[in-house]
Amino acid sequence: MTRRNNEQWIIDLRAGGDAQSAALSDLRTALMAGLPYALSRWLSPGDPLFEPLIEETAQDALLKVLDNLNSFEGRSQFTTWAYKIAVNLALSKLRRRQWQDVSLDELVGEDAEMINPGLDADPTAGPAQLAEQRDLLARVNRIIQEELTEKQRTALMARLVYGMPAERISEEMRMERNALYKLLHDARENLKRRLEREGLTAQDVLAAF
Amino acid sequence: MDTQEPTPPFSHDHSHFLPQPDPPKKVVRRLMRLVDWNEHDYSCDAAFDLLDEYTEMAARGEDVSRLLPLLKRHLELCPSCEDEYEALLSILKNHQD
Repeated sequence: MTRRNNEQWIIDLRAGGDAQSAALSDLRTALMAGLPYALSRWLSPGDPLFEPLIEETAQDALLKVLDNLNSFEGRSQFTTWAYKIAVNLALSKLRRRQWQDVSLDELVGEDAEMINPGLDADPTAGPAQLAEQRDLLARVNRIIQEELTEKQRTALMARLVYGMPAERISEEMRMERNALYKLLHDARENLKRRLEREGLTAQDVLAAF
Repeated sequence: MDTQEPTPPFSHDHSHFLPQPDPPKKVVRRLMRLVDWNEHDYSCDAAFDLLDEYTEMAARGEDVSRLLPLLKRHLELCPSCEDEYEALLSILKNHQD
């Protein structure tokens, strides 16, 4: 593989002919070598989908890189920029495929608390900090129970606790995306007002964690 | 030393797939970032534009919360962008071009 600086990558990829073919081949090699490190957290390398996903993603990423060369501003290594595009494509595919059969009902139980009170938030915290964190978590859970509607709680839990994509939440809740954003916005306002009434700010809670 | 392999949160076997909740610290920080959200906060698109630069800084051990604080705030709020950051960081830390 030829070593190139950012400028050389751009020149070669725009060149056409043999120089472009060689640059595309080198970039494909780099993507194929880098992507397994990115994806192994989500998909076991032994999974039959692993290799096909990497090959398909590398191919799609090459096309996207070529289409977007003008937007590369040189604030990072060119290969980092290309990896970023490939990671976005790969995780978008994985998210679509892997959330498609998950229902909100099985994900979020009726009486589930948003922040698991049985787990220490920060296992490295000292006893005094742990006590403060437990107290804050209990207060935050109580505020969530008292201030949010069931719909607001369900949407927030799916998004913030499980990372369910907003488009899947809106499908599951049979809501337009804008209606979901309004629901989350209202939930945020309710929580903010109640925290203020209790003399707490988001910054106070963040500082404890 | 814990030698147990981490369980991937996703499996391709949909009949058994159920994602696991994120740790309480992460959830409470996400929730407070949402409560604390303001009009200066980044969208996912704005965060994506800077993600390569930010991840290189993080891989070099630079203080990203001081250099690109709005991006750090966004990553604490958005699970999808945070996943992409961690995936990109994993490439930069483990793979040499």
